[in-house]
Amino acid sequence: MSNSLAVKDLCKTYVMDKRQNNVLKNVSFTVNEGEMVSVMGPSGSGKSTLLYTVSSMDSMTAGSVDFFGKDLSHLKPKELAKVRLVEMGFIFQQMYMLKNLSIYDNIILPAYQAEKGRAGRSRKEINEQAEELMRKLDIIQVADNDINEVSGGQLQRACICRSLINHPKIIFADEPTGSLNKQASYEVMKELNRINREGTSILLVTHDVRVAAKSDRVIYLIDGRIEDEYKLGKFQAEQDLRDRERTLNGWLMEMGW
Amino acid sequence: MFIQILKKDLKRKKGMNLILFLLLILSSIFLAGGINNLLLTMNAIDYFFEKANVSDFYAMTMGSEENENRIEEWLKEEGLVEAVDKDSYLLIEKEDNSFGNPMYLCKIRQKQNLIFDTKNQPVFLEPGEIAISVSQAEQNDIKPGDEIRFRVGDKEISLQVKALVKDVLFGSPFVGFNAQYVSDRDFAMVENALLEEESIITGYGISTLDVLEFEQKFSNEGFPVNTTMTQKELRKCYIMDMLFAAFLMIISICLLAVSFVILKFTITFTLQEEFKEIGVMKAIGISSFAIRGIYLCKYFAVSVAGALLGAVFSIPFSNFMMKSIEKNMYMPRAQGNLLLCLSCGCIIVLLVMGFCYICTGKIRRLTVMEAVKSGSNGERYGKSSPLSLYKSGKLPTLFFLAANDILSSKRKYIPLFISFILGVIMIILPLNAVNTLKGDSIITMFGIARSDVYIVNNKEEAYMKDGDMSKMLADLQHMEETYAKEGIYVKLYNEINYFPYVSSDTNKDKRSILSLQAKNFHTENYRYLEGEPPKLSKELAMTTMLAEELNVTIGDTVYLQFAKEKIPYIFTATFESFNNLGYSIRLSETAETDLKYAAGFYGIQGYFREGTDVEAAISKMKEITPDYEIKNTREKIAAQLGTVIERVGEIKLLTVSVVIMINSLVTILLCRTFLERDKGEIALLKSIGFSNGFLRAWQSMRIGMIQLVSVFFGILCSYLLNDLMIQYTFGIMGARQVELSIVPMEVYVGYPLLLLAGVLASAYFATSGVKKFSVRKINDME
Repeated sequence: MSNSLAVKDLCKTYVMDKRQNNVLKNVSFTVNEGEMVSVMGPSGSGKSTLLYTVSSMDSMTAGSVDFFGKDLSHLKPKELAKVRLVEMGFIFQQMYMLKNLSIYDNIILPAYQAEKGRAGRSRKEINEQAEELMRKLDIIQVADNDINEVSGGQLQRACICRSLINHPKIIFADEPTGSLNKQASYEVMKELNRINREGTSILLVTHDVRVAAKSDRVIYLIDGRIEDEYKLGKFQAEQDLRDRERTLNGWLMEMGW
Repeated sequence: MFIQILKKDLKRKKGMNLILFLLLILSSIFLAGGINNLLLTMNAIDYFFEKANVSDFYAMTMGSEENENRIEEWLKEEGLVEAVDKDSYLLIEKEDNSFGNPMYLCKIRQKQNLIFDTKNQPVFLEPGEIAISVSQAEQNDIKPGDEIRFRVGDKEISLQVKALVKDVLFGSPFVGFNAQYVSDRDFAMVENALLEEESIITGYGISTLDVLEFEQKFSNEGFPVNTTMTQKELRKCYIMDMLFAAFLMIISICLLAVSFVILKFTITFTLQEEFKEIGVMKAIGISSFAIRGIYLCKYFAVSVAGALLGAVFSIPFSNFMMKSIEKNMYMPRAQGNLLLCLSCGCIIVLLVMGFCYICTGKIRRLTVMEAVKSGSNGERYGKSSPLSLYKSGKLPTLFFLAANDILSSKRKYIPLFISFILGVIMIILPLNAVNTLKGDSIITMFGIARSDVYIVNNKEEAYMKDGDMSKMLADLQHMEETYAKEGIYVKLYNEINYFPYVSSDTNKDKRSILSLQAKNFHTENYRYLEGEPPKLSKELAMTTMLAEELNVTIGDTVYLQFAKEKIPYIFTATFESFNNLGYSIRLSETAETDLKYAAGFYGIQGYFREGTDVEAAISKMKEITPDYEIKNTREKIAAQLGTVIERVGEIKLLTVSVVIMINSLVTILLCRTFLERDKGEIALLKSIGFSNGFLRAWQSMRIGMIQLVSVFFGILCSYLLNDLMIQYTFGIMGARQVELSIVPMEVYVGYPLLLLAGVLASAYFATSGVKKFSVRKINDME
């Protein structure tokens, strides 16, 4: 299995009021194609910074990020934007969407933009794919609604639809269930697992053991360094979840969780 | 505490406060400058007239010693006369001088109608020196030190221009006569060398006890004068200067309106942004009045600083704007008006504070609960997405997002919309005025017909001396034949000016009025407002203003007196004209006139045979008759209006620069505000792969779209205001129904594109901050 993402000696330093804050210190790891990796760790350990940096949303201070053979540290802002638009998908803890657009329009917007000036999908095809995605994620009934007219779970599923509309090679998710209730979290994770099974790599940051237990591998971050990682293997069925959670919890206890 | 909050606010919203501050400075500069200029101009005319000791009445007569004796005898006897100052003007024909126009040499007047140099000092000339007015110098491109040569009899004389002078009597281009000043010795030398007494024009500056009564008595005597002018009429010639000052005032009012719109936007935005802080302050028991005080304190500081600085800057600005007026007029120094400028500053502060007090009224209505609920009071509003991307066909996402944003929050864009509309109006109105003044059709407003070619054959003075109409007509025929031999077929006619006394049965007061008669040309070819063109010899048309003054309507009888006899004419039609400030008459082609009484000529005009290339024909005519002054319509208008076009052009340039500057400032302010408000959405779009270029274009596109819509509405408003303002402007000059010359490409395409380009460039510049936006700002999304 080849790497979709190879992070090597990644450093990120913020300078605030002439004081340096080394948030990430020589972090190295990989995410294989079709793999789902969770990043865990205490608050302030640099999880979100790691996600934003490897996804090129934030600049890196040192190191390299190889994304399907492309060294992201050498790409120009415009090229990085294109990579993010076409090859990556993003899901945030808060369900961020453009407030002046309907759910449907928010989902298709990146696809319309990605296809601009390219002889790729037609707008009609994009619309059909969006509708199919919405149907799969059971939000087709709220497609024309404004974003303030749907529930949090529906909105997060809409965000997932938006992240999938351009068939990304990898999805970055920053605590995707952080603002959701138990049922909504279950639904969202079910979808992420389904997408992952279909071949899309996922790198997610979470505090939730139940969410992390559904991933193939868990990376534990402390003070900007990878402390250790734990391989859980592919999540196959719901009945295995309790065992996976128990094992993961044990490991996390060892890590000082 | 107030100071602390103020300091923090000024630091945090640096850009917004700075632009508001700049707008207030500009408003203050223009308001103070406009009022200052208006008062200065009004005072300047009084001051100039007082300093120059302008006579109450001025009359000019040409040629005959007998006439002069008659007038002088009568003046001596007339009890209303206080003082008389006699001037003589020695005519040097155009072909005899290097000046470029006929010259009227005159001694420096010592008692009345005094002249001053450019430093407002009395003028003294040594033999060999000459002084000319500033407007003549500009028109003929003459500078101090240049030489003017002329021939009198067999003498060649060369004089050096010593000074440019402010000439109250002949300095305004609307007077239509000019004089050149020489030393007493040179004057005597030229006078002695002049062969004909018809080359001497005599002017009488008269001080009277009662101008109106004197004017009436003078008119009743029926002296054969070329022209008469009261002090009141002379003042009207300086009206254009007042108009420009008034125009500045209008610009400043527009600017102030823009400032208020922006102020309202800024306050609303600030309150929306700080509703949490306001809620918290209310929750801990601070009264609404005290919270309002914080904001009022801030705007007070900004407005006081802005208005004060503006008031100070308005003095050099006002001086700069007055420079062109000062060239022609003896003006009081502007420094004394600091108090006036400061008063204007105070007015602005009061207006701003009053406005802020009203705008901050929302603080009273803002509840603690709203702050807790993040600004939402639970009400549901209409759908926030008015457009659908998936229904937008092939519309690029950039246009869609920009249009959708505007339609989603229309109120947010109202300040920008209003500012841009005002900007468009401020550009289009002066532009239409300039184009109308420069346009071909304006020529008809001088009471003459528009023709292909305008010729001065330099024989006008000779025709007037001889009084031989048949000679003039024969010359016209000869000219036509000369041109025809070279293949140019042109029909020529001559336009003659008279100044007969005019009266009516209802208004028996006689007044000397400009009367035009075309020879070799039918009166049907002129533009009339009402009635039938005068065809018979005893018919005439007159301007509406004159008809009103004479209290006559079409069909009534009016009386003209060229010599001693009063001749009745039937008034058949009305027309409009700038000539003589709106008071003139058109005589029929067949009217029995005598060239002896002519006051001058408008020049020969002509029409080419159909299909002739006008410009080519004119240049060929110049080759055939190089001594003649031959002009096309455009050149004729430029010569007719002289510096007026330049002044309006200056105003146009000023307004275009100001509007572009204001639009840019407003755009930058609003773009920065929108960036601040949209930072979450920008971060979101950035995170999902939208490039910085797209995001800047998106932000700029919204402003561009508003500008486009504003141009449309601005043009519409200008169309409505054209009638009110421009017609009124031209009305002051004597024409109330001006046919506007609108250059569509310039007005509807050129300048709107210029504005659009300026606004887009400013918006693009203002959105450069997008590049520095961190995706972490996504957390600032509501």
